[in-house]
Amino acid sequence: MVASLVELSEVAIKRAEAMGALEAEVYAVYARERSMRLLRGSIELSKAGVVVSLATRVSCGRGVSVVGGVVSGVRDVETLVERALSMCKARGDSSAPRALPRGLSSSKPRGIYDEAIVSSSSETMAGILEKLVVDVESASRGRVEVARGSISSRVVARLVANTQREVVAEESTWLTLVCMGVARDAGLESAFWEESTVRRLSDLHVERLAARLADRSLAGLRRTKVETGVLRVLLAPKVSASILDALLAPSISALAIQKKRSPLAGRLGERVLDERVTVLDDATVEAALGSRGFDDEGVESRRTIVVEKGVFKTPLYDTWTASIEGVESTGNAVRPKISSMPEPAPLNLILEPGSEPLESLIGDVKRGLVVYSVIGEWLSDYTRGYLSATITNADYIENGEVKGAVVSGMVSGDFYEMLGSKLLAVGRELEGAGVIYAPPLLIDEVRVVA
Amino acid sequence: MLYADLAERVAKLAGSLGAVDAVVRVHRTEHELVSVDSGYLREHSYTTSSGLTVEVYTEKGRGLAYTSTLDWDSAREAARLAVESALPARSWALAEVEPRRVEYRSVVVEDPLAVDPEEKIELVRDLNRESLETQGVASVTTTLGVERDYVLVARLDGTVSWREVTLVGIAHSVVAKTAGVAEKVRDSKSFEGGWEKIRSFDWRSFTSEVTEIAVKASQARMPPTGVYDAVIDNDLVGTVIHEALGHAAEGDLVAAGASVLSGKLGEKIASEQVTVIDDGMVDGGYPVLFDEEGVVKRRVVVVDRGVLREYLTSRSVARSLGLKTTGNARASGFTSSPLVRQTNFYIAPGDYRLEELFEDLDGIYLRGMGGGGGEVDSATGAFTFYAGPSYLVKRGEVVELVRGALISGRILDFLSRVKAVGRDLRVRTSVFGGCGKEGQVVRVGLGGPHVRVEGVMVGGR
Repeated sequence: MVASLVELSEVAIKRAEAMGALEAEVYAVYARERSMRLLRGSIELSKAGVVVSLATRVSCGRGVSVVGGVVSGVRDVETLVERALSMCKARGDSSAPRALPRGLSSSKPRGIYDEAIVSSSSETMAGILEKLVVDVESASRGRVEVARGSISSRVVARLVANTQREVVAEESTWLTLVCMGVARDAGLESAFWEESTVRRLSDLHVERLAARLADRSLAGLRRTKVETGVLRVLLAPKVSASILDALLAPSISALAIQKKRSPLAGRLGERVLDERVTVLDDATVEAALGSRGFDDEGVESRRTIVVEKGVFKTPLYDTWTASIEGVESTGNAVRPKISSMPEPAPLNLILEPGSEPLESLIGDVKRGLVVYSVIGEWLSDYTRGYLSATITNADYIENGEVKGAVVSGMVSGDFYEMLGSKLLAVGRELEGAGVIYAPPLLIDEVRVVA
Repeated sequence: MLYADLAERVAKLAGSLGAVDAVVRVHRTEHELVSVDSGYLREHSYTTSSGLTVEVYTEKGRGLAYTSTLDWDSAREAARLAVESALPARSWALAEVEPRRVEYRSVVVEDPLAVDPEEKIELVRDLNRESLETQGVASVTTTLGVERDYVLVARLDGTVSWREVTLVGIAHSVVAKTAGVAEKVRDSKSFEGGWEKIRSFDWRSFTSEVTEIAVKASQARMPPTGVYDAVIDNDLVGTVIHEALGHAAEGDLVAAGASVLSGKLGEKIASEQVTVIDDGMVDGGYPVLFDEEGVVKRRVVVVDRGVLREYLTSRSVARSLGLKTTGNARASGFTSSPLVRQTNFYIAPGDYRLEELFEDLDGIYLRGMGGGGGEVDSATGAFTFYAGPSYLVKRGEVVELVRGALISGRILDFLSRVKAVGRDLRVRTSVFGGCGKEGQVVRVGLGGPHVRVEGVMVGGR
């Protein structure tokens, strides 16, 4: 896979040089996917294919432009380079970055490539789906149906090369299992989604996923009502992570800070969260979802402490935002799509866990909620730093005991207060929502609208 | 008809390899963006994507394969892989449809992809600069988008249909700050057609309005959390209906038992004021004359005066639910398999004039512009949506601008509370976004008339 990308990148670089580019960079991706879709416990569709994408960023003395897309051969690559040069010459932008990254290098994170995923056949994947259905049925004693689901494997080769004849490349794997359980009883219906993405097949624990799906789907049937008011709220790890994704991840981008969109603009060195909160970005963690040897412009991955004991230490940088402040890139360049200019974003953002397990934290709740799933949290506007999310699965707790499930309502509040003065505890179990990892968070005085 | 011969040949090959039915799609997209971020040309990008998909139904099961290389050897290999990867699947029986040939091309006077890049950059830069110079504005992003999307579908039964849709538009996003309070307001305007649509629209008025609202909203408070009687504008009602009702009306979710509308055909699910339609051709919407299975899209009355009449379907969903096909199987690109999707899904206009909707209202006027979108749990109908800057209303008069209003509820409860529907239907599509489902984004039309609803849960501070 890498060899074919090297070949295409050489075509692009030679073409850019021949057309007068001062510098050129190629970012290329080869992705092989195999997936299956599940409907009401049975496989509905099997799918397979290969896509090769390539982006080229060129500098022509009037700025930098980037073009990209799916390519089917050498001619497509040359067309993209020609378009990039013509767009570059149209710029005339004095504030544009003039130089492309140099000194490409790669770290070697462990566990990002797994032969077992590469060689997994349709039968292997169908077997995992079948096991999921059986395990959910067993865990729920036939009371929860796997209404929808899918499994997909991705084998990806990435490459960054430039006119300095520097090349970095790596191969990676992912396997994702997604499922929705539906429990029905006496006219009531309760649904719950679970998802697990791993880099190694051996890290996939179908039984655990099935047990949780069954448990939370059934829990949603035992409904109770809460009154609108202020409650103590314990966020399950994935909910904590999705809230961090919506409100903290975009705010620590150097671009958002430089453009004054982030509430953290001008607050470097200040305490912005509770002292029990330490947040770091680390793309070298073994087998984590965002781990990689280099970012999307070929800068080596590393570990960066963003918030230490509540104090904002540094934003995340790509090469361009770093050059504006005269600092080094933190290796966080991400291309939102193949033809986008890279911009800083977390690769594996981790809120460091505390010591108390979730079960023990529940015991600390005199009157409140344990929230297991929400929707709409991603709609919260990070520029305001204000969270609003709709609860779809939670337990109502009195004196540390579950009194029933809450399947609608809204939680809202100032994010920096919630993880600041209102934070009561940081729990132990670390789980991820995409590339954001967080433990349970116990928060006092959260506004809940019933 | 680009690649029609190749697609027809591949469909026949799939038949000879054992496919009982086969659909071959060619999908080619070109997308250009010019984005100026607070005076700096942040992005001028051009993206292409083209490929071929072979979806087969064999005695063994259903399989799909794709390739990004559009030549005979790669297409033949995709056909072989699709047949080979077909797995024993849940009943994939398909509803019968007639072979048809449909062709559609947007009217384009001036090819927007061929316009001089300098002209595009200058237009976007000027709009951005003017907004940035406004007092109270912290940052501004202005983006020009151009897209040409070509889809060809060939079936084993001889169907060959194609469409080429061209969209252009500008999006403007302003962050204003007052006394440490930041407020972001974003809006966009898109047209089907060529560069002539860009030339003939008053973009300065459009960006000025967005800027003014952002500045005023940054000075506004959030509404008190509570339950309000509300008038909801065209944009926000469109988002709510699409997300909270439209997805639940998609037959694949119904078949999966994952929709709040499952088993409710013929039942009253909304107030009598509410009629809901999914139509492939609507003024201002996104044109879908046939779907990615080559089935002709028909106008579907999903809800008729409060009663649920139809679900949206693909061929396999129609067969499994014992319903008619509606032409709603859509795929976002050549790597995707079609899902049941909406096209232009909206509440049909009613009898009320706008002033009648506000009569005696003590509550809130919820607006969509600058809102943050929404999310829904289709299985339960739970939804949450961010409104844009909105207004508190006393005795029918707007009295105060408020920011950050969020509405939340259950869709069937919400629809039962609709008291009146306005005459002013407006549907809009966008070159900047669309509807997401299972990782696929397709262009749709969103909108509706103003509606008056009692007892809406509004979150604020």
